[in-house]
Amino acid sequence: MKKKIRFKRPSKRTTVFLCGLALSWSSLGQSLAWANSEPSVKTHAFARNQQTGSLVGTITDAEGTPLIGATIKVLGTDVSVASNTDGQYRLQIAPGTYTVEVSYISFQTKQQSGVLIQAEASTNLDFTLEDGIGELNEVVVVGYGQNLRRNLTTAVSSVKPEDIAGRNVASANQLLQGQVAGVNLTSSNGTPGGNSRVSIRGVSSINGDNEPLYVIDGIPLSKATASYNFSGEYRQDPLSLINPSDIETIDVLKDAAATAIYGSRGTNGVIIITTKQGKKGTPSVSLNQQSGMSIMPKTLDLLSPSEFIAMQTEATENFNRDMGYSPGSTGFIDIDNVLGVVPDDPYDVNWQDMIIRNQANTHQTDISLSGGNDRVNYFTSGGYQYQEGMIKQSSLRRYSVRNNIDYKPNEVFNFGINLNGNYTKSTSIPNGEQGTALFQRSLEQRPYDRPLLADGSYAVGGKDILRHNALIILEQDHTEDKNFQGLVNVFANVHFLKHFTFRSSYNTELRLGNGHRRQGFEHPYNPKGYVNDIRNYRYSGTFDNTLTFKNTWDDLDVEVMAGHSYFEDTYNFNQASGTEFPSDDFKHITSATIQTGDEDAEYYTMESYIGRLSLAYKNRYLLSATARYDGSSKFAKDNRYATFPSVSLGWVFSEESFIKSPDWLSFGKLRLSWGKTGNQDGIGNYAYLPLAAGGYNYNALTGLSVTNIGNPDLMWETSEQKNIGIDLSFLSGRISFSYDYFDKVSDNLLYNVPVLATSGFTSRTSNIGSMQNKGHEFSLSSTNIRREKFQWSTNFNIAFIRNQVTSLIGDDPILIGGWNAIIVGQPLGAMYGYVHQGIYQTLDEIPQTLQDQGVRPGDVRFKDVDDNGIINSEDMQVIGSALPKFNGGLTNTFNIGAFDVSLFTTFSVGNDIASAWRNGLDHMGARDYNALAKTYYERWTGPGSSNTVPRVTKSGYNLKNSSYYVEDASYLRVKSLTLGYRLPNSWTQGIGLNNVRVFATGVNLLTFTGYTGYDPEASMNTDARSYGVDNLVTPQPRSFMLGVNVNF
Amino acid sequence: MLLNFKIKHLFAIGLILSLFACSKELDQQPESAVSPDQISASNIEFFLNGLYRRSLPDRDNYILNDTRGGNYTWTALSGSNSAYGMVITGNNVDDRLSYSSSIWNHAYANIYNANIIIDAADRLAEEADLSQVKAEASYLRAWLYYQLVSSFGGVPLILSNTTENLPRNSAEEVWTQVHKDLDFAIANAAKLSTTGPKKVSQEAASALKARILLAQGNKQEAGILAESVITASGRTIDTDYGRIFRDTDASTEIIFAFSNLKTESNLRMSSLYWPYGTTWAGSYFVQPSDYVLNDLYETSDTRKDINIQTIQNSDGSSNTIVSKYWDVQPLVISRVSELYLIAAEGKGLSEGLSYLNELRSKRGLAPLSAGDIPNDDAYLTEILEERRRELFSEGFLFQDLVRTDRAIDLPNISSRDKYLLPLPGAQTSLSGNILEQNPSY
Repeated sequence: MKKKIRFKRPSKRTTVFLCGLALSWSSLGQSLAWANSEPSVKTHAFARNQQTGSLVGTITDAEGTPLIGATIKVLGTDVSVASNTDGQYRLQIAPGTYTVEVSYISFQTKQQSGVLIQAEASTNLDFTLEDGIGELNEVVVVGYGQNLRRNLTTAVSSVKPEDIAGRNVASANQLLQGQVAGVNLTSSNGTPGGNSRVSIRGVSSINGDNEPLYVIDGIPLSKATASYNFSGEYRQDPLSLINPSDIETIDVLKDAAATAIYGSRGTNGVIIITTKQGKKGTPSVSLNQQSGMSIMPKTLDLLSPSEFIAMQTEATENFNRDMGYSPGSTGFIDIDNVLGVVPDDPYDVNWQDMIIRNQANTHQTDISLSGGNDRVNYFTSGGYQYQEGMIKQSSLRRYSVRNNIDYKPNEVFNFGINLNGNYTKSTSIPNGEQGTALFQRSLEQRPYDRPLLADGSYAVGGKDILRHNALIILEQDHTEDKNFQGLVNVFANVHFLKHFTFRSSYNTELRLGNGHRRQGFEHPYNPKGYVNDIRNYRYSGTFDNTLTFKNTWDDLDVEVMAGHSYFEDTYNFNQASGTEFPSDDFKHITSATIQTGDEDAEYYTMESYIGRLSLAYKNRYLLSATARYDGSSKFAKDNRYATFPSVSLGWVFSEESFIKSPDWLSFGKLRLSWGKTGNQDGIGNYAYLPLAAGGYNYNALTGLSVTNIGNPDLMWETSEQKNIGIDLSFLSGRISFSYDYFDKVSDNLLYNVPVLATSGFTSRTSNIGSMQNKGHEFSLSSTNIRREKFQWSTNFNIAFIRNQVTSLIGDDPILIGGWNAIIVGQPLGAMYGYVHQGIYQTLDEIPQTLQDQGVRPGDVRFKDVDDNGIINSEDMQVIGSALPKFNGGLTNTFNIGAFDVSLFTTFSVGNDIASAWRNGLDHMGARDYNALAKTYYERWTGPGSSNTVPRVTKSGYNLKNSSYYVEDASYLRVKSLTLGYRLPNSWTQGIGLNNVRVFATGVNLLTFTGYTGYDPEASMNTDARSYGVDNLVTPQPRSFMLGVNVNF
Repeated sequence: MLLNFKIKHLFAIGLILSLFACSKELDQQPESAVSPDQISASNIEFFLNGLYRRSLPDRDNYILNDTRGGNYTWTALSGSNSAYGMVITGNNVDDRLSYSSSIWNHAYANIYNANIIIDAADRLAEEADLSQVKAEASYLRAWLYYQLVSSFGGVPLILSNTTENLPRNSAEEVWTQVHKDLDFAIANAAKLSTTGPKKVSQEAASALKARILLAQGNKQEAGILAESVITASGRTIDTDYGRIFRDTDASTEIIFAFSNLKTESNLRMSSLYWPYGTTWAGSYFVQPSDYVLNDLYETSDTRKDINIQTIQNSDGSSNTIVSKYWDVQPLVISRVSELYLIAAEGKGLSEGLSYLNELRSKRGLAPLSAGDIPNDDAYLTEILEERRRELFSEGFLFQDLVRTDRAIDLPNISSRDKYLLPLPGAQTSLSGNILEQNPSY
């Protein structure tokens, strides 16, 4: 048997594999189905002996995409063939009139009767199959390969941006919000391009980085922020560099069996982005234009000048009386100092309006051209996007070009190149956790503080007015980040010996970043000017080589892939800064009196061997096993390598004859998987080495200092995940349902652990404990109504995920910042502080020790856990968690004639926010700042008046970080509502256009939440350890857009 | 055949390409750091320079004794509930006090580097004479332990680096070690005339020792030592008080000051005191207390206008500020005026008064006559007031009040337990309370 010999031949090269070779077996190239590349023809023996006619044709789906491996059967005979990779079939049959039936998994079977076949003649018969079982036939990209959803044994969800109408997102990852069960995306910051937090199946790592790995057309993207010159909260999301309009599909690999092929980078899930490719057919041009504006969704009510004066006066009197202070004694608070200079006409200055744009504009234009023939497919696009942020001076613009070409000169060989160039420019302004943070500092001003003095000069914070003057910051502090990103993916596939494909691909990401920040002469921090300029160079390259073997023996489909991957990452930055300029006219460091410079580089490399075996028997029993052997430069020699295996099984029980599935059940599959993945993100490239670093110069003499203690035992963080899932499809695919249960245990967590400072260091990177995430994920999609003029479909998903730290070295909580801690038995980053147990109503309720400190009726009764009369850090407890109990999304789409309506809502329940900003704005007089009106009205004024809000006093006792400031931030949000109208072709064809759609979209139209701040999704950073701390980050705006899509 | 031929080539190419990917590529070495064990006689100076650089104290810690001692009050910018406000009023001070952790962490990080240098100097003693390097590192270690013991009492005494969880040593043991290190420095460091004031000299070590002897109540020895340093150093009281802090390199007083170049550590003392919108713009977190403003200085005192200034605003309001520091200057640790004050105190009324008067006359004050001072306690009061005037905002006041047990009268000190700061809560809890917290915190 020839076949067998050919099969054997590659195995002689096993020695080559052992050498660690970059060879592999992969299917990435073309063939999706198990069919051979040539049409397989099985004709009845006797037919060949006679004169026959032929029947040829192409099988496509409704969109014209060829269907590969569809079965074409001539009823009443045993003639049947399968369509080839181009969807074509050819069969020979004796002349006559026949009925032909075409069937294909997940499509509705179609019959054509009266097909006339004549001798020595060819009859053409094309079929267009209608979707049967919705998603089952879609191609899902898995690591180093692809598969049909029907045959998947792992938990993978797909999102097609096209299905999410009118989402004008700045970053591609924001498209995922509310779309996939188990993916929790929160836009913690509403600044355009501001980074989002994406967590797939909970939080797996203790260190800062819990973001999934993004792989775009085979290029693993760097997770490094696209901001270089940080001013406050704003960090540009690296995904904002890519034009979301170029994306065809996003596949989210969730369980370990799906991600283990990415080994050490798979723990947090993998998101595979596939960009649009040209399709066979006449060239088509698509133009998309939308413009709109955004407004602030909410403002906060603060005290008026007279209320402010009343509050501060009452607070001062209460405090001086409680402490027994009289004028002259240390500690005595003089109301005149608190109020500062009260103008004769203390009108209310609206500081919020001063920093917020009345309306922020957005524009987006995308144009693409695509087409192809049997040899070449191409897709080329250009895009422009401009978004203004709600804070004045903040904006993001992006220019992008893409060119995807696939050339197939013959059946053996094809190669392609995906080229993408992006340029972004963002301007940002300090907000968040920063001395000059715009929102906090503005709201905290005394209500009568004015931005300009009588002579027109700036009022200076701390001297003329209470807090930093936002107007100075807006006009004197400019930060601009520029990014050039080049994504290049070059690949070649060689199909040989019928069953083999060798694929080689080189994937690079090149990023050049420049952050430039300048502070003018009137900026409070640098009276003689300041310029800081950072240039950043990052190059990462992946060289993948895979060899795939694929064949079918009767009912058994086999695919084997093996390969090698090498990854290198080079990071180089230089920074220069200058202060003391001759005058405000000089804007570059060259004119500065004091100039400092810095330059450094880091390298990180990985080497990996990968393999996969997939078996399918009778399309019913499915098995897949993968393994990746990873080596990383981040660990000492002995700990450098680790293996990450996985196994998954699938059983399509609806195909079993012994199970009598009812008619309404069209498909049912059970999935089981187990896998191991690793993580090495979030630790330094040289964390295992003890380091004496240079640059610690003293008095212009060379200096060195030991900066890292090192840890030779540092090793891989691993996680083991089990998954059980079921996919069901009802009523010929009108309703489909998936359920997954997973249990993910992360071990040897990498963390920069706080250590005893007596060691000389305050932290050391170590493997310190374990964590568990488990959860249930449900997703349901349904075509509720399917009539010619009216369609209504619904997509719903929800996930219940529990996270728990299960062990740490040492049982003591590890404190993170002022609000969070890592504690065994609690979710990661649990909010940690004092417990507000109510308000002391009378003096005799207060322990003497606290009375001595000035605690009086009306003050907060903090829980004294050790009951020693002292409230100190021993009394802190868990007071909340930013992780939701459940979250998900609901999308309803209606098509009514030429109109389409899409309503998308997201929800999250049980997530808390530590409203750090309220410590500054809900202080009951303890600070000299303005304050929220509502709580002031509800304050304690005497026994029985309140058991939640304390009295007003200048004492700081009630300001402790306590549960008083932790709020339930559950929300239901109408994320977007789009109304579209497709213009009748008769109107537009006259000017050469077809398919013209106009639409209007509203984003963040309504939010139902009890949270008192601007935005229930707010968080000052995306670090899982301290997520959900809000210091008035810029909220996501409410936006309205109008747009048009044109195709011709 | 042709097909097979091509395939062989492709395999060959694949094989060649993949050979580039070898495990050797995983040996990535940092390009801006080396292994600490590469310390040698030829580069030990570099480690010493690094130790100087990082030992420079934090701005707020440097003047914490002024903040706690009553020289300041908070401003509208910091507020009574800031860390400044808390230590000024004594209210709500607990083991999460930011000063505690920053003093603790800073000291031990540098003690670690000092230990490395001292160990290496001993180990490499046969190759080269490194006693001078060791002397300077010993001084810095002593200076760091002095900060720890005066802030917290007894602390773990780590002379050889370890990651062990160690309990606190007694304060006595720490003081003993401080003396041991200083004695080594006095014996082995170079003279001030050789090193210059940016490096540790014999005189710098003696000056610190005199301060520490005084802190321990050993007045007589302190006085004698101070006297000898005044003579040996050749430094004189600067006739221009402002120059000491505003043009430090030109001053005649400095015995030891940390170099503080704008291109290196760039520590701006001025930014703590000056309001935004002024020449030395800063955060204006503390301002002079009423006592300092109204009672501390006589009109003729040349120090008054250097140390305190009132800024008039265009709306008619004014701000009183600590105006002592301008821009970025070396950070003074020991200067000869302090030694005059130590000599004055250490040698007692009869022998010491001349030192006090010499300083007073340089500062525009009339000399005191022994007849006007009824007893030793009154003399001590005069000395302490003079110290407060001279060393204002240089980090002395609170320790002076503690060592003379007068701090108990401060409004922010409710008991003698509060003479010490709380140990950082994060550290006591990391140690599983092997590090015992100070009483009443």
